[in-house]
Amino acid sequence: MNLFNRLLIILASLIILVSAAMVLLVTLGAFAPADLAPSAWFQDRLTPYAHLDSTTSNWTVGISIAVIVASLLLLGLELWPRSSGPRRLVIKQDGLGQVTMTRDSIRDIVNWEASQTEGVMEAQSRVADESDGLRIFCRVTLDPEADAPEVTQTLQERIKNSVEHHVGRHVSHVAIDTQVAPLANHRRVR
Amino acid sequence: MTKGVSVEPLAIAKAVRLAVAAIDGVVVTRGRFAFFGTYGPGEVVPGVVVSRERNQLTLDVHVIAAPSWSLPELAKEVRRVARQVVEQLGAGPISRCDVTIEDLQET
Repeated sequence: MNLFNRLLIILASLIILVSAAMVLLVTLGAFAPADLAPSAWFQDRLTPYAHLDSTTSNWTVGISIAVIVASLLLLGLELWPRSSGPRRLVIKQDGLGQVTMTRDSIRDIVNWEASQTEGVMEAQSRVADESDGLRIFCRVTLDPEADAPEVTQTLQERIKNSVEHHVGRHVSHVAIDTQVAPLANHRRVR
Repeated sequence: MTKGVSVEPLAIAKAVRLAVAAIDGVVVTRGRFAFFGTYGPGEVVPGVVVSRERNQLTLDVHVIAAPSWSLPELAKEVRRVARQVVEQLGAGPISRCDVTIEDLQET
């Protein structure tokens, strides 16, 4: 999401948060509409909430609290710094410029290799670009009947060869974390 | 069209886009997370960003590649084709040609 979209969502969250808080405070009788509203127009919008019957009042309080919590969550998510590293990896840099690819594409290569390996039912991977090369972390779910040491060794080799072939960067580390699928779950998933 | 500087970036982008898209197993794409392209009057060429700084052309080409490609080889081919097109247009020297592989999939 680009900066403009994030700013837009932050602004929208703030507006919703403030509106819901004002409705809540007026409904609870903590403030009169005139105390909170910055103008007559806002005061007219808030006044009905000061005269609600008990059932409607309870609903309004509940919905206002839910909206406040949701907008706070949204605000938190948008303001939280994201430090997952650059989305693109430089695979080559020379006098002519840069060749880059998305981190997701490398993950796709790894997941595809895993899905093509006999005995692997599911795979999730992560790629880190370190000074000594690419480090790949792959979590796989194995078929209960698979030979885990053999499958993981095959998978390590396949991932390393495939990524080095496609990306042209040295793969320094391939870590495989395995778990065995429950016997009932024999579905092969990417 | 004797001087390179007379060729509009939009025309260069169009020609480069056509030439790169003709490479087997390559699709020129507007971008996966943001829109990349060259803007002109009432028109935009997606996937190829052409800019000119001090009479030097810079290109940024965004592609989706077939999984059979080795990406450094693909980048070399894209650059070769782009350079050839720019030379044919007489658009001046390329100072930089970035290649961004946005995705790998069968094209």
